[in-house]
Amino acid sequence: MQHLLAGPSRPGTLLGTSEHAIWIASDDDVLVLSDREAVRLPNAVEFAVDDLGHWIDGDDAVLVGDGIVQIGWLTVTPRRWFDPRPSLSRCTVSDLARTARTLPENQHALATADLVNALASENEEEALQSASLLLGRGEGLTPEGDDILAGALASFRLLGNAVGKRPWFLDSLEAGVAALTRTRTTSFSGALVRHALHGRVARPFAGALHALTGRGDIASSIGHLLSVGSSSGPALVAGLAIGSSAITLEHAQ
Amino acid sequence: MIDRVTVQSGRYHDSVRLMQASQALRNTDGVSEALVAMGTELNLSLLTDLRFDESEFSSAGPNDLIVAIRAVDEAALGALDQVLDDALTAGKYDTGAGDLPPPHVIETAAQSIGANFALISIPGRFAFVEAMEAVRAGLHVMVFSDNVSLNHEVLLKEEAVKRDLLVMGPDCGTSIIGGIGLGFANAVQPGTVSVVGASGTGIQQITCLLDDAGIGIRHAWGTGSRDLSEAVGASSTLRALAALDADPGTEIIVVVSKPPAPSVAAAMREAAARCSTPVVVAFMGPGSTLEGATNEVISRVGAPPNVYSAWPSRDSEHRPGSLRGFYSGGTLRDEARFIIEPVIGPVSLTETADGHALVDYGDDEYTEGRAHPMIDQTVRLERLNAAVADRSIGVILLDVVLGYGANPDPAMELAPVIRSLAGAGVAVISSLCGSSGDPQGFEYQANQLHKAGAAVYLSNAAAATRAGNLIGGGL
Amino acid sequence: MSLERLIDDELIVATVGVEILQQALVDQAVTSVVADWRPPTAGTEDALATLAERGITHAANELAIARMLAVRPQLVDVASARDVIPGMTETTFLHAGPPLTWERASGPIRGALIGALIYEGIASAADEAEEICRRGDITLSPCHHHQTVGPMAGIVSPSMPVAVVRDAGGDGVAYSTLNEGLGKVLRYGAFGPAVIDRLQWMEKVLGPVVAATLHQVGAVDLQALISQALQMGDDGHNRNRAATSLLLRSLGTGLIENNTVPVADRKEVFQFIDGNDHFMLNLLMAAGKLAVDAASDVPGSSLVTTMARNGTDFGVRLSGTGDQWFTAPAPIVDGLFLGAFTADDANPDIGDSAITETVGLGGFAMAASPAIVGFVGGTATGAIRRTLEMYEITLAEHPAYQIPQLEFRGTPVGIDATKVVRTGVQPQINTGIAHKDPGVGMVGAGLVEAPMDCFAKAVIALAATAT
Repeated sequence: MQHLLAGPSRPGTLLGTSEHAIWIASDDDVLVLSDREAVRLPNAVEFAVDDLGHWIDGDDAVLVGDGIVQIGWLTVTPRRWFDPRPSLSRCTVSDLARTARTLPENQHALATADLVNALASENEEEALQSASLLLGRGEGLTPEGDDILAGALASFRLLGNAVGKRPWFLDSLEAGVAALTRTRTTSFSGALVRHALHGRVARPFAGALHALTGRGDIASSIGHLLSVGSSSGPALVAGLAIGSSAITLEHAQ
Repeated sequence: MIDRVTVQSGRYHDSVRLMQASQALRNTDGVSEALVAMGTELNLSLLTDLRFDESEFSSAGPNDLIVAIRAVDEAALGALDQVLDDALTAGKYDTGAGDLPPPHVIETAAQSIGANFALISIPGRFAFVEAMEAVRAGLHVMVFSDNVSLNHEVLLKEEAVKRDLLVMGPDCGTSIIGGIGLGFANAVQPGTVSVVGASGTGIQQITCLLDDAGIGIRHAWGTGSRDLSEAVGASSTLRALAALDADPGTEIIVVVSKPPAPSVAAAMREAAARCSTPVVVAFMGPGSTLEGATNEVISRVGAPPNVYSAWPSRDSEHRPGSLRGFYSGGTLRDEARFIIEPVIGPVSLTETADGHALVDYGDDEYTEGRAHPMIDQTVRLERLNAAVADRSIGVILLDVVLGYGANPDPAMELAPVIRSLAGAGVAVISSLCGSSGDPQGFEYQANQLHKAGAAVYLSNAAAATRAGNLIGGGL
Repeated sequence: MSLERLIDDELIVATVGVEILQQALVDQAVTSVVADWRPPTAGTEDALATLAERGITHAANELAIARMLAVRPQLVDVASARDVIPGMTETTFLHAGPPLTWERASGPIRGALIGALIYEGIASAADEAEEICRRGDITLSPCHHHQTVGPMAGIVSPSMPVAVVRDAGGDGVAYSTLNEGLGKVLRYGAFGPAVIDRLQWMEKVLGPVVAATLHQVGAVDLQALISQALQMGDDGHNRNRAATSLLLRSLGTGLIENNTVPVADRKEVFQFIDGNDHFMLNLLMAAGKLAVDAASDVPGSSLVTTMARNGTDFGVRLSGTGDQWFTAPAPIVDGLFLGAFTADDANPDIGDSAITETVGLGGFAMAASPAIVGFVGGTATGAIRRTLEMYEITLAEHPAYQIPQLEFRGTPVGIDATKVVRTGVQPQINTGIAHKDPGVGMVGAGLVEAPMDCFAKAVIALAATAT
């Protein structure tokens, strides 16, 4: 988000507000202003306050740049930066296979074995095909299909790093996936999928990844992840299962 | 002019608030002089210097609050009670929602928000009890307070080990934990270098030097000035080292401290060698500087060597006289000493009438009942002003430390006396420990100091080297 | 949070000390809170450090408070003091508060002693009674030393009927006198013929009838009664109307059905209890005494087991310091005065009734009793806020006594003396105010803070036991 704020001041678009968050579109990205109650997303500026959504009006003008965000009278100056890409401990594929087995049974209707295979065999066409079927499908601020895809891409990249795999395949997917996100789903959700592809994730998801690589308790971190949002939690866990399966499968082949 | 001095017992306020109250009174119309302070010897002598009547406060002790005011007339005095009261109570804990009473001790405060960390900065003789309660409540603890007994430090750390918690301190001035600065800390970029230090300003200098080189900080954990003593045995430093070694987000670790007890030094080097993460061990002393340690880190991470920010002076002319250092912290003073003594011979570490001296104004004798000189520059400014007319002084060296918790605009306070000194022919060299993210504005502070006539260096080692050059020639 | 988690987890920080360090956290958008700290009470620093070094108080307190809260007090009987109270003799007279001599005693105590001597037939007139007391021909002893408690002067003499309260979960037992009612009564130091007559009636009729009724209906569960009463607007010290009503309901059928007692007596007893809103107070105090005795004598525990006043001194005892009393001058209560009375008419604080605050009632349950606030003076928010402050100096929230107005939160119970001296928050007591002259009666009610000096002395003594 630093690059977003570093440039000159330019107008942004207020996409929406909830009790705990404000969403702003700027350049090709979405910036989320959220309070303590909200889940920390990778593209968030987090405030140590409560009930942030009550602070602004729907028709306030938005400016982003020169280090600040301005919404109507509200000027936001980020004071502290966090890195939404977790650094995971190194682990072996067999260790990962063992911990991934403890993930809950995948019961999500939209989750497909196709995506697992496409990632494991590094088949670009099939991967994009799966992505286009998932994007925009389902209910919620972030449709469940988007969450599954985001979870799968992020875990495939980050767990891949942890077992020593190079992310070239994902890099080659980037253009195609990005193009799909711009047409098939909301700008907010699409931004999150693009961040996920680069390994930039929400905090509860990072916690689950840490647990899978041996730092922290799996049951409690998965439990925490499941409770995110109204439908996002289980979809993200399903995505996590897909990504980790793809890693372990690939190495089994 | 009318003087009024009152002495009250049973009132308690921390030294920074008292300083702000003094300022608030002095800024009021009709007031020419005001001091609100606890009755320590240092403060009593300040009152005498200000020509208040000694009989009015000679009975006051360190637990008494003295309010001394000099105003134009009775009317002016009358208005001040409200000003004083407001200053002493402004912004006090606001009970906020639901009129809930505020917590009065650390464990209740912690419980009220589900805290996982305690920061303790009350006077040292009370800090042990609060710190122990915090540890017993399952919190990691940073004890900013100094003057905690050695025995108590050992007990705290033993208790912490039992519970897999970390005690940072006592006398731990700086920590950066997951990007959050605690105590006196600079706002630096996040990254993959972690620091473990028994010196707060040592941590500050290293993190700022790295930030200047574009290298970010993951964690910087202070462990307290006495952690590497024989009795404490580096308890916190060793455990911090192990935890950071296991951290996948840390690529390289720097351990910084003044020279530890020999057995402890050996244990530290052994532990560092056993780490899978590369460790740079920096025990400061002759030949071993903070800049040197930083350069080693830079080379180990494969980054190009950095030219640290500096605003040097254009010429080397100065009136004849000795070197005097006016430091706000011991570590930077000691580093200067290790660099300068090989060039010009032994220097005094206490105030002296003639000859070279490097004084740490953070020492107890200059801070009794006052805030730390990184916040309150009064004593240092007084000495610098006296130096203008003191023809025995030719070169002045000082440190200015920025960051959270520190004076909001030290350059503004220093500029007038630096101008006077420069005008009188004294060479003024300042190290400026800060980062571009600091609330004071690093560039702005540097420019103000430089415009006033000082040579400014981010690196304290560079500043000390320059000072040594001017006095002794050729480092 | 383990050391490993310090690497990754977001800090949530509690601070105490220099405000600018707290401000720096706020500036960095860190979730944090600052404690409103002040140095502990003068003279207690070293003792607090010693206790923190030894590290025994936490576990000791856990044990002591568990014992206190495990007690299940039941009213089982009424009997003669001489027959049941340990250490009672024909010339022993128990009194409220810490140990006291006639010389130091205040008006209400002296008047009550005079009345008790006349009632027992040891003296026939006031001057004779005074002479006996001055000579030291009787033994004065605190109720608290004899498993007993008494409100106001709290005088207990051998012939008086006392309630017997037993622990259903153990073998503890505690006693208290029966409440005489308001106005000119012994416990306020009155000793005229009407007082003596009433005492005789209580001995000959009230006591035996209530005893017989209890034998009939079985034990009355006082814990259950008190819990319900709290949810009906009682506070358990100054307002006991609901509890007394519930008690009467428990005794009712037994009273009616007891054909061995003349109807006239049964009626008198009913009307007596019915007309005395504070009848339950004494029984409730005995229930409290049972609880504190169970929690006593745990080495190293800073749990307060006694807060009691004798009209001259305020006394405190801790579990870890056994029988030792820590005293300071009893304060004059500040509150609302009846009629034309003022603070000048008031006797210093008196009575064992602070036992109620010691077990999580009275001033510690004021939020449950809005009516009390007007009665004791002050504002509703202020008084409730003071009750909320009590949570910081107590060890637990009562499992049975709940406050509806605080979402049924348990009352703060189990005062920790170390917390009192560390926070500067003194236990708040709701109390009646007696006239300083014997026999005038109640002149008002108010709030009083237990003197800090008692707790300071107690903590210093506790630390001495730990070295």
